[in-house]
Amino acid sequence: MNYKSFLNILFNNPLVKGASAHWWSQRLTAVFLIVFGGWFLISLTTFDSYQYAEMRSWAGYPLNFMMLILLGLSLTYHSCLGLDVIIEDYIHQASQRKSCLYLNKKIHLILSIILIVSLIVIYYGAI
Amino acid sequence: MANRPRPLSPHLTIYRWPLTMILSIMHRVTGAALSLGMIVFILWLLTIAFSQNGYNFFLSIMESRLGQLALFLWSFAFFLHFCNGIRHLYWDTGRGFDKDKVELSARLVIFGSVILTIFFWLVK
Repeated sequence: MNYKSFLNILFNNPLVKGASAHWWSQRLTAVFLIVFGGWFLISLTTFDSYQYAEMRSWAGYPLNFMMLILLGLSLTYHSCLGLDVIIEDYIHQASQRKSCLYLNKKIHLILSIILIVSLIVIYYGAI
Repeated sequence: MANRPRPLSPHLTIYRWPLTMILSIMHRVTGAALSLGMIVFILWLLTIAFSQNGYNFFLSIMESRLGQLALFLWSFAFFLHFCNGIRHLYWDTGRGFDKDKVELSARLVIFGSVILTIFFWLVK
């Protein structure tokens, strides 16, 4: 097999297509999560209690709301990319792998929608 | 696409387990565990948004002994994945691949994540 046809087969493989974008997205969201995830765990240490009213006013505060949106989007995206890799590694049968990857994306999409809607409801309810 | 049997490279069960390998596996395990933790995080916000009773129920589970244990393990998973993630980002710049440096950064990651977990639960 010559070099060009090997590359051709390689880059037309659905698992390889977009691999570079996958790699960069994983790194970018990782850097975001250092910032937003770190912020969130520091925030957890500042709560006096975890009572409903305190949580609701905290999450509805504009800066926290914005940070939670950014955290939520980075988190769901990073989680989706990570589970993609796990599925690709352990599910060997091609059609099963394809449907698992599809399902993974849909589940993460739904989770991110639930998260964003919740945050918007908290934000507008807290004003 | 037919599923042809392919040759496998030497796998987990073949090698002696060095620290670097344990960390590599733990990065994946903690990643998967944190994906589950993410669902709890979303439930937390969902109940805050839509149901005070739901939130109180959520809180009672999380404040139970089992809930606290789960949260403790999730916090350790977070810090381990966090520290090892920074190690990976450092590797992505093409540095730190010498045998000694890989071993040193592995030790730093484990030390750092244990300290951060203890510190987190002390100040929380």
